[in-house]
Amino acid sequence: MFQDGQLFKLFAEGIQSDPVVWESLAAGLPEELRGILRELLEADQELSCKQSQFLEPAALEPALAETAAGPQSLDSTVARGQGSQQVPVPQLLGDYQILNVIAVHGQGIVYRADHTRLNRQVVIKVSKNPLDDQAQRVLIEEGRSLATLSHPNIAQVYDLRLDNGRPCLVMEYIEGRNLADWQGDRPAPPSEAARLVRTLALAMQHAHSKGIIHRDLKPANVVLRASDGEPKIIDFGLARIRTAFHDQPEQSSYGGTIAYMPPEQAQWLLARMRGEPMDDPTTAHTDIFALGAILYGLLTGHRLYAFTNNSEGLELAAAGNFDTGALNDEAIPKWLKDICCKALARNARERFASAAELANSLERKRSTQGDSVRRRPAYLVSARWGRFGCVVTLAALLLWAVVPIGYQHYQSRVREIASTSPPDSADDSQMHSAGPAPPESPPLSQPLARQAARVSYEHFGITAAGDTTSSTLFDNGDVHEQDAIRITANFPVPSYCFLIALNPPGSEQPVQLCFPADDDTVQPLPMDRLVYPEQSGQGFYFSDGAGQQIFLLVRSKAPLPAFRDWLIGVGNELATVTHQTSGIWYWEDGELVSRHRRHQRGSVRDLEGTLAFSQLCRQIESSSAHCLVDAVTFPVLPRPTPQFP
Amino acid sequence: MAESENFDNPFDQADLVQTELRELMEQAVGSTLPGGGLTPSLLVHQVVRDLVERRIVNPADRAGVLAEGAATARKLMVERARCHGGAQPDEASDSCERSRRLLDLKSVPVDILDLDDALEKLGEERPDALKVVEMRFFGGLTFDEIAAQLNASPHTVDLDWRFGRAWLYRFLSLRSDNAHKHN
Repeated sequence: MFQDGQLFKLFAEGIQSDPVVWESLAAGLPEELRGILRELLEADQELSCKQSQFLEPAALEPALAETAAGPQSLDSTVARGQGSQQVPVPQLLGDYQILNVIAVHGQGIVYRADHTRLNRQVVIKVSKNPLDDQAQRVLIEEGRSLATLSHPNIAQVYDLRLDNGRPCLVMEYIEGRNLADWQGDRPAPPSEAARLVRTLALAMQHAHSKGIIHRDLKPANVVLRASDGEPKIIDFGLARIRTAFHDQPEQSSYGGTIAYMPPEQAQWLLARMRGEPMDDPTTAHTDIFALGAILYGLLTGHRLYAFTNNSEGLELAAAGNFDTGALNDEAIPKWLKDICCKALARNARERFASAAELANSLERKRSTQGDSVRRRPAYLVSARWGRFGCVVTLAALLLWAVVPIGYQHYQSRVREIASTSPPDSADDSQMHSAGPAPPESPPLSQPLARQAARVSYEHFGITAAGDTTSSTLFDNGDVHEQDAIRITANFPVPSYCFLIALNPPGSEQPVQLCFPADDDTVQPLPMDRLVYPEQSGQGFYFSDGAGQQIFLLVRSKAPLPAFRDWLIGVGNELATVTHQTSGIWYWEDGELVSRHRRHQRGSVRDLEGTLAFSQLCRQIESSSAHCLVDAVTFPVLPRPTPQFP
Repeated sequence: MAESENFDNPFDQADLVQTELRELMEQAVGSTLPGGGLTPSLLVHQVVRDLVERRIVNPADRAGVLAEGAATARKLMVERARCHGGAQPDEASDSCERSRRLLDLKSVPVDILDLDDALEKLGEERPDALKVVEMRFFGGLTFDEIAAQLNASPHTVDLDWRFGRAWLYRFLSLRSDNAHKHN
């Protein structure tokens, strides 16, 4: 029907090419051949994407496998891998203990692994295909270059190995969520956008100073570390060797995404498709444009170009025409818009001269003109804050201010954070949903239902003999100065949270934020679990003298603002709470619980002393439509004087 | 049989393997294929393991014998389907036999005769892809083993595998669609 081997050759080109390039190449083929090819490529895609086992041999029983293939090798693992669920995982790869498969690409597999001796988690990208000598040389050269990068906002490359000619790239493992998922399709507060892009620009400057260009900078390649929200750029400088790991065109070293592609790059790609020779225009300005495109996306909530197919997108990118009107939102300061437009200048020479210049502009302008945006309390920036913050409506403030909040009233206001939180905080699939934006501030009259968190408090005491004991709080006696506590909270749904210690009056730091690490951090990702202190065997020491101690765990399914902004919303009154109890009391599930109920011990004599405590918890919950509180209060007693015989 | 006698005489060994394979697989196919359970690759591995254990096959030649077994398995299955299923699979009386020849290609039940036909056509388009699919599906060989057998790079084998799979998937899907239309 067709020339000998033509179909296979075109198919092989198709699965190794960028779809945009392939569509262009295939345009000149006879219609019938193009149709068959498209069907074959779709079949291949379907079989790969669905992790299909179509025609795969049966999994060999252990006894058969033993005689057949011996212990599972990396070779067979990589060769067979087509889907993360069904990919056989090798146990060891050199010094690395493989933990699980993170992702499977057409050309390789990404594992999470542990270094067996260093106890360090890493990401290992293993190529499915061996490289030829030339490609190996490029890989090693690039690996050496990448190893020189050392910056807190760049994922570190630890190792580059070759396993039977297959490259394995070992990189820093960052637990977190990528910026694309985090942002979804709604804008970020301008101050946050500026801060984030400035951080990225400084990281890029470090790389550029080493002569390394990312070439594929985009939100999907920025991971926000779960612990502190710090952005880390991943896949740094891998463009030249990316073909070894991903489905990218062999003949092209460009792996950028159209929405972050500067005009000169798009023009170059189009010229290549037309078969016209053109020098690769990639420079540091390529990354600067990408930074501008990331800033644009953060500010406007959408990408630079709207297009229905890649060819159209490429034409738009080549023209460099994007909607500057989207930056005219009054919430976006003019200086920020100007910076964004300069980074996105059509002519590379009109962009910032360096990433450092972009970073400096962002910092200088922010500090001289725009800081007010950052410091504005949550409820004053509600138009934009809804995506990131805990929206405090006027109604909620009024309610807090004028309505006496009694227990009966509270009970009648059953809460349901799950049904009222913005969907963006739920999961990735919802983040990507293109449906209408939910109301930022649900009416308080909407029924709310609670889902209790499970919070446990581990108490580390010191016996008279000087030994350390560990027990559930108060199970092993009173809490004394210099004892310590470790708090573990398991959330019923992924939650954003603050853990706040209200230390005894007179303490050096009456209100102490335990989590997140500082009051300026906006927690980027919801958590299933919080352990404080994180390190096993450590505790929060009661070193502020005797007196009443409170721990407040404020949680929300919706993102919370930075603590200092949140504090303004709740009236900055945390430090003024004074009360005295003789035992331990919890605020759980919207009500005061004595240790009697929780631990079969306790007293009701404290009830009067707990009023301020319970009022505080109610006030916090009332101050925001989304926040729930789990809290504990107990006295820290003076350490008894050692009795010597 | 003495070890040297078999291992040092490749021609005799090849004949012996063929005979043994055929015999063992005849039994296995006869007893297991209807209703599934034992898939071709498992069957071939079982047979080859048995031959290795009986020292009829040198462990070093195992992959080659598996490849041979793959082709034999396909042949036997088709022969059997043709003998017992008849040439008119659509006849109502054949429904029982038809179900006996259904292979479960991992949640895609396919008639062995349809698959055989598709494989023939694939062989016309890309002979190497046919060999890869045959060795992989009927013999359960790893890609590296296949690469060694075909004296090709693992990359080429991977491309052939993907091409063969996509080609068969498309071919069988079109055939299935047409059958539905006629019904």
